[in-house]
Amino acid sequence: MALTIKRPGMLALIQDQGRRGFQQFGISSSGAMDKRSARLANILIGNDSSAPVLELTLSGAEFFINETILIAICGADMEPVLCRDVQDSIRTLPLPMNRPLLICEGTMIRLNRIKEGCRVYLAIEGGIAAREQLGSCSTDVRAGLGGIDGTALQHNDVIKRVAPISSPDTDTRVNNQQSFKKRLKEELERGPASNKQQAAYAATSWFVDVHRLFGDHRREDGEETYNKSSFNSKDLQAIRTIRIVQGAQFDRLTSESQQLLLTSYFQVSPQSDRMGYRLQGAELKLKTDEELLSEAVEMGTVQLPANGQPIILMADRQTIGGYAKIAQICSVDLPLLAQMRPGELLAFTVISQQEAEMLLIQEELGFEQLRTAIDLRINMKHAE
Amino acid sequence: MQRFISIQLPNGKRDSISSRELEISFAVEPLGEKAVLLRFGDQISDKLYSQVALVKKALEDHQIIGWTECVPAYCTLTVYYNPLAVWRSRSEREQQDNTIFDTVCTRIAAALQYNLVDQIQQSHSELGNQRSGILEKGINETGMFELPVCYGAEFGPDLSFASKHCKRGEQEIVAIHSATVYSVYMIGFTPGFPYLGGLPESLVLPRRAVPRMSIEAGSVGIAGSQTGIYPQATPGGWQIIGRTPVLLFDADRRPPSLLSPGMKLKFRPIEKQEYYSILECPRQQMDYWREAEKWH
Repeated sequence: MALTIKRPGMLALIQDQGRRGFQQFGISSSGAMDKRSARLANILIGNDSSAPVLELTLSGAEFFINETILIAICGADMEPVLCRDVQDSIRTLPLPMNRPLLICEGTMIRLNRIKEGCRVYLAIEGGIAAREQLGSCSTDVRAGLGGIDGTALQHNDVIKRVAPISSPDTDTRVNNQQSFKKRLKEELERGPASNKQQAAYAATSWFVDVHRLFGDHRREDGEETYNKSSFNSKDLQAIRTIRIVQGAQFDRLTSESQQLLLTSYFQVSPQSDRMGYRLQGAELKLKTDEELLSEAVEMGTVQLPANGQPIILMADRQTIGGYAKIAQICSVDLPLLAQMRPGELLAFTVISQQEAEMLLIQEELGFEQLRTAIDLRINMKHAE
Repeated sequence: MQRFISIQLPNGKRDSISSRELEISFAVEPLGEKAVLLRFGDQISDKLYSQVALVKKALEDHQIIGWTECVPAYCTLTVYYNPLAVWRSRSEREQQDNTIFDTVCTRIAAALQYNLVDQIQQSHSELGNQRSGILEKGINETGMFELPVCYGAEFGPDLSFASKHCKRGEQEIVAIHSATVYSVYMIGFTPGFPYLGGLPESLVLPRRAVPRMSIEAGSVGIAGSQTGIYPQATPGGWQIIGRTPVLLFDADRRPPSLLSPGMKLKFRPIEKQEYYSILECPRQQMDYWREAEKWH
């Protein structure tokens, strides 16, 4: 009975690292849009990397905390705040992100407003207890799989955590997570006397500096691009550079379109969602308009449909696609893309397959080091 | 970076392999950092697809390190893998490879070179020692899966349209549709949805001008030169000529799809009574699922 959803916000879903192994039967891989933040939130509190988490889109979500619980909040900055007293939702405390938090029973968490990014990930101790189907708890709304009942979360839905089975033989990790929680609780109770009665949460002093670790690829608007004048100055303030590898059908683009792909700004359109991001910008053309046969795709595959506006396939994409594949977003830039909101601008830059692979390997190795460092802090031994 | 893999099969090793099937070759291209796409051609043909099916089976039975899954399509096979697992398992020689993609391609080629002969041998013995090449005939011609379908009336509201459009009687449409053996090329679009090849030209129909808001689960339809079955209720523009009472997708079963890539499928016309009898009887549903397992 860990939390109860008071308001789901724009979209609230239970997700994990995705459903793999069944794409050949038409089962989408689903999973968190920003898998990096979901993974980080779990690591911060000693969960399995792929434990189910809450994916909250934009702001407005509110939930009651029904029991004192260990959590972490990663991803977008939607100004998470804590209401000490559910009766009094005006007086709030800001909650720090990217670190373990112990939240007291009887409080309420709210995502106050959009500051930065698009999707927030909330991990709870032990992971969210959800329906595992075909190897994953990820919610696939179209197929009705995973989550609580295969649908988006709504007002009054109760989120339960996977309870640890406490016995002397229990997994060390679970035991250590519990003693970490206990230590944080003691820290909470040890707080300044004046705050003792009002103690609502405890946080660690250490945290993960995500911007330093992963970067945010902001590009200075000084570079020559094709269609700068099509966008207003507010939009131009935050342009993300997204790295791509040329797709199998990149050469089918006219040479003019190849140039346009790499020198224009594209805007994330309002018709962007978990299935795919539709981009608006320069119209791209293929040399011939022959129909292509459908074939398998991947998250980050950039397709070009007849209207000349690229679509980037995302977590809930269908397993088969028939449009030309002009590019592939490199894996390490997918979390960045998942944090872009409609209206924001991006520009593509080409890297080689080798570079894309090395970036991914480096990130994986980095995560292993991070896991070790965090486990040391919370005194755990953990196998990935 | 166009790279090709060519698998040479030993000539004269055994008499039953005809001399024409000594090579399977395909192009390979990366699909991101976690997948490689094997491209056998660019047409829908049973001959091309039989190569896809053979390679798929060989690779599934002898999974490379880091294997996650594979997805077949008309003339491609996409192999998904864990790049960290591949990278970590590289030999000293493999560490000289330019990319992890290169290492995966070499390993796939090696797995096929080693195992494909066995695969073809096995398929040949299933065909009963026929002399002509398995790669020409297409796989598994001795067996096909029969799916019961109730045509027309409330189950096939567009059968009368089909009849007018194709200028044949409704009975004739049903006879042609159910006499054909279809190939299941792949499952996609939605869970359990089969892409079927082989619709006779005489049954080609345009999509509905106005799509339906909801099509019943199990509906069998035609759109252009494609025929297919909707596993779940969904909006759609296909011309619906019948409905099957058999469940096509069950998330609690492994695999969760009744139909599978490489299967040969035939529709068996049934009456309304049998439709309801199968629909409501779990044991009969189970019989069809068990029968379908032979193709996995």
